Amino acid sequence: MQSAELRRIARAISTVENRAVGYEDMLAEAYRLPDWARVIGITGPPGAGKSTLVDAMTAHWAQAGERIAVLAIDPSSPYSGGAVLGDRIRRNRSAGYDNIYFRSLSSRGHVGGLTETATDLVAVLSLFGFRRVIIETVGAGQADIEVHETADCTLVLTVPGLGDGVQASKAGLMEIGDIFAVNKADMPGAADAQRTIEAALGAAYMGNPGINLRADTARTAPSLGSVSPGLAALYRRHGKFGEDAQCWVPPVLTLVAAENQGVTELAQAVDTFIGWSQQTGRSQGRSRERAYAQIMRALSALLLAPYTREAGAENFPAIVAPWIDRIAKGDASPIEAARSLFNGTLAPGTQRR
Amino acid sequence: MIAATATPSRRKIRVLIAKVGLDGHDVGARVVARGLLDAGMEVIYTGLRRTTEEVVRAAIEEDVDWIGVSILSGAHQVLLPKLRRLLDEAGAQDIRIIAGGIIPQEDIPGLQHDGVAQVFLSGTPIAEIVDFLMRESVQPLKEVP
Repeated sequence: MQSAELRRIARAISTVENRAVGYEDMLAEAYRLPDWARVIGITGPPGAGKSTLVDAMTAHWAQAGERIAVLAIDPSSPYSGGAVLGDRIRRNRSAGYDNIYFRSLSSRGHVGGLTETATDLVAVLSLFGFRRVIIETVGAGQADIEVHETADCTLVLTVPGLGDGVQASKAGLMEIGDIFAVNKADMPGAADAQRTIEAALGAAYMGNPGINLRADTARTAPSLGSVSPGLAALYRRHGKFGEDAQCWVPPVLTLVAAENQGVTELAQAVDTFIGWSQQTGRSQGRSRERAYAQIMRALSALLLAPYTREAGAENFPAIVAPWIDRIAKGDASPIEAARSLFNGTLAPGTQRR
Repeated sequence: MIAATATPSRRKIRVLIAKVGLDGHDVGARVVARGLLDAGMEVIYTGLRRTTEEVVRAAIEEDVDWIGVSILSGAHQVLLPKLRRLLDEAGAQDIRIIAGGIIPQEDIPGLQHDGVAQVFLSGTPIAEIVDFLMRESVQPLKEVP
């Protein structure tokens, strides 16, 4: 990629990130593209080796000649709004490739492990001809789950020694993975970590890791009831063993990303899953879920705009301020205030502007 | 009807903090990075021992306003003018350079002549760097075209 092209890509991303002039037109065009880049989301706790894995995986695909983009997200300061973005430090194997575009992003106060604009940025990168985008999440841990909404394949990375089986059965990360991987597998406890995750998955999934056909024999008996909202969501994404023609059971792989061991196998598993997801039509269900979540987010931003205090502003918006005074004096509850604002009635003594 | 323009632009000053050449000490660079974060800027840190070519590529990919180069090795007379020249050749005249570290006072006018916006010697209070960047960034902080 020439400098001029890199600059255009970088500027387009800034435009969307900053909601600057022209961003809505750019998104209107990008969302009408017939086909988007495939998105691989990499999440996991701090120190799991996400940046190192991103480096190794981008090198793997770049070497195969793919045009590939990375969005690496780090947390912003809740006090200043600033951020130190350090994911480039791990760029070693992938540093020399001209066909990689790498962008560090701040979460800019957004909770959930991504930046608010992540999916929009994937659309924009698709506009610039990228066929594959890797997103590295903040890595805040259990709450870092929004990536499964944006990604075509979510890879949950962990390391040995983070805790016992209870960690694996907690809600959050364990429910969003299409593929799990234990990094630093040369450290003690790697096999235990792998078994723990497999056992936790075994409570929800029958069948063998990877693609299962209806005729296959179940590996485990289901230990959870077959109908529950949580499982229903998993089955929508991965299919249900014994009922659907095909289903997917998330594999748990091991690797040493820093030594480039197991990276090829992991990259192959990612492509196997994405291929399966498209061929079975499961990926379309995901796109629809993603569209719903995005509409809700954009809609709430528009609805809340009149009541929202600008970043860094000291005063509360005039329409909300009287309610804040009343609540502070012990004269109203927040839900009364919200209902009243929602219904368009004003706090007593307020002039409509 | 609620106007979509209710969402204000959220432009932030972006700074690439770079260590170029063969010097392996980045405490100063990290302290400056932290100070700029506290001032609400987005700081991208490259890590140690990057080439000038890598720094230019990173600065363009990251769409930064500034590159802050920390040099303790004595190679500033070579590396900083080269960095400026490579940026200009890449069409990135708008990305400006500040430098810090161990740089003799008498070298500063020459570096400024070669396109380094400002040199901050070690011991400079972070607030001084923040003030400079805030003041000087006013112009380029217009909307992205």
